[in-house]
Amino acid sequence: MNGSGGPVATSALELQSVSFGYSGTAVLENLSLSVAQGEFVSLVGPSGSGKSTVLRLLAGLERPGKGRIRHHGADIVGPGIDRGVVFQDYSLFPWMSLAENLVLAIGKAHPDLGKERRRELADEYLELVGLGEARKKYPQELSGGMCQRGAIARVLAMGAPILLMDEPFGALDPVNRTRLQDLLLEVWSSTRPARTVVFVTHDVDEAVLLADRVVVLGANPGRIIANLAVTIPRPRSRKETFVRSDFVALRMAVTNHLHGDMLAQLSAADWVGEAAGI
Amino acid sequence: MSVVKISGVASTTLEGLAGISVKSHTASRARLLGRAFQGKEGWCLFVGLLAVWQLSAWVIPANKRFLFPSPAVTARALWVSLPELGKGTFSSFIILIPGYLAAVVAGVVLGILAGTTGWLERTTVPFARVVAPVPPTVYVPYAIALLPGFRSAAIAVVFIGAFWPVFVNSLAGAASVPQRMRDNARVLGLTKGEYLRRVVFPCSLTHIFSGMSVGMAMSFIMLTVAELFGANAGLGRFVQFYADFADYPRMVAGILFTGAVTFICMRGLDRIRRRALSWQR
Repeated sequence: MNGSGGPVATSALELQSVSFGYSGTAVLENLSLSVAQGEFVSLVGPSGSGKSTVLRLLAGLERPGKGRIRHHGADIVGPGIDRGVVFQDYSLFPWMSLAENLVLAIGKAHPDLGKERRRELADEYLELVGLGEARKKYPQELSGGMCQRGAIARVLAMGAPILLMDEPFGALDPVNRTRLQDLLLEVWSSTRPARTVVFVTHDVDEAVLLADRVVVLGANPGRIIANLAVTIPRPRSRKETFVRSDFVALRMAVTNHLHGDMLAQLSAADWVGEAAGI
Repeated sequence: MSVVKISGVASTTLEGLAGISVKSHTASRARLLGRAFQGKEGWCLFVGLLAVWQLSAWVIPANKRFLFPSPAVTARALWVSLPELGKGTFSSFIILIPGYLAAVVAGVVLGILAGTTGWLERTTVPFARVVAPVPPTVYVPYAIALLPGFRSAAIAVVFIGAFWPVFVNSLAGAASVPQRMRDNARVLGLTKGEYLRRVVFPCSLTHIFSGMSVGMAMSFIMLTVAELFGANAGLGRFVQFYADFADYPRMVAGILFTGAVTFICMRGLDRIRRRALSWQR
């Protein structure tokens, strides 16, 4: 720990003028984004804006057509255990129990650990997300919320310094969503600045509440139309945060950008200009 | 006036009610009867066929009955043949088990490799498309001529019969592993071996088991056909032997016994499948 806000030599994650497309259709065009070590960045955008593609590129599941993607200065050429990924609803293998899923992931992340230790660690993390009792259950036997808790336990147990989350709470009911948001924030802030998070969501409240920065993507092709810093102090309780004027203003700004992109065919430059004024 | 009207309405309502209650009473009796047979319908067909069999034995004149033995005669033949049938089963299983197990292991391993390796799939699928539909019974005479001893020849044809369904189904299962499972495996950094063993294999199990069940039926067919050609023991051999001697009670007993053995094996496989796929529910 060397105090706060020191200049970081290299970004934890960096996309440099990245373009990406499938068979002729451009999904992302000339997109640049850098994420600092320990930062929590939310990506929001309409469907077709390529927000999931950005995450897949960072995960190394896709390779960019043009541009560079780097992790602490090193090019990302494929998936790596240093980047933990939580998908919307399929992070766990259905033929393994919760504990087996975690043990497999822990084994890959920490190959030096013995079998017994891996099992203990799996139990600890399942306990952390309140699934200690369900350790022997298979994903089919669990609710969606429990599966996502399991997925988060898995990614935390792997100890990856970078968390890439693709609408992880998108399919959950509001109560479970709130709980998991709190859990994620708790873990992230307690290890700050060890963990960097890129969080894809289409829920504007969630994006603003969780993040240090909200990046708004526009569609066809995917590009950044706004990059808004969230300066609301932490810890952020929902009750206080939701009524703050800066929260309301940010939420409005994000929503306007989203709607603006969807409704009007304005040039991206205008919107970025306005975003800078906020 | 109004009183009459009201009473009229009341009476029709009562009638209606009574009618409904009578109807529901008979319906409930039928339902009760239905419930008593629920889950036992399958047995009804067996019992019915047995009754028809017995009936026909009474109707058919005695001089023609030797081709169509009665249930009692067949049961007696079955009882006296049990030691021989037991030995025959053992002899058949010595062929069936190695042939079938080798086919399952080879079919699953090669199917999974072919289903996940582009060049291997492109090499084997056209070949399989040509060779797999060939009825494997045509290989039996050649296998017996080619291989030393009946047993090795029979094992070989059982293997061929069971291999293709297992291989083709395993390949289809392995080739259809969803993108999200592959992404998940890549994100965890699984090695190729771990990926095949812990993701592709379990993910293909549904396909593999349907291949195994077709393969098992095939291997019984291949076994009995092979035994018709040149065995000196075994289930198919038993049936062929007594047919040659026109001992039809024993032959029918042999058919029924072989049916029972096949049924038990298929049920056993089904048990294993349910166990292995318990995570799907």
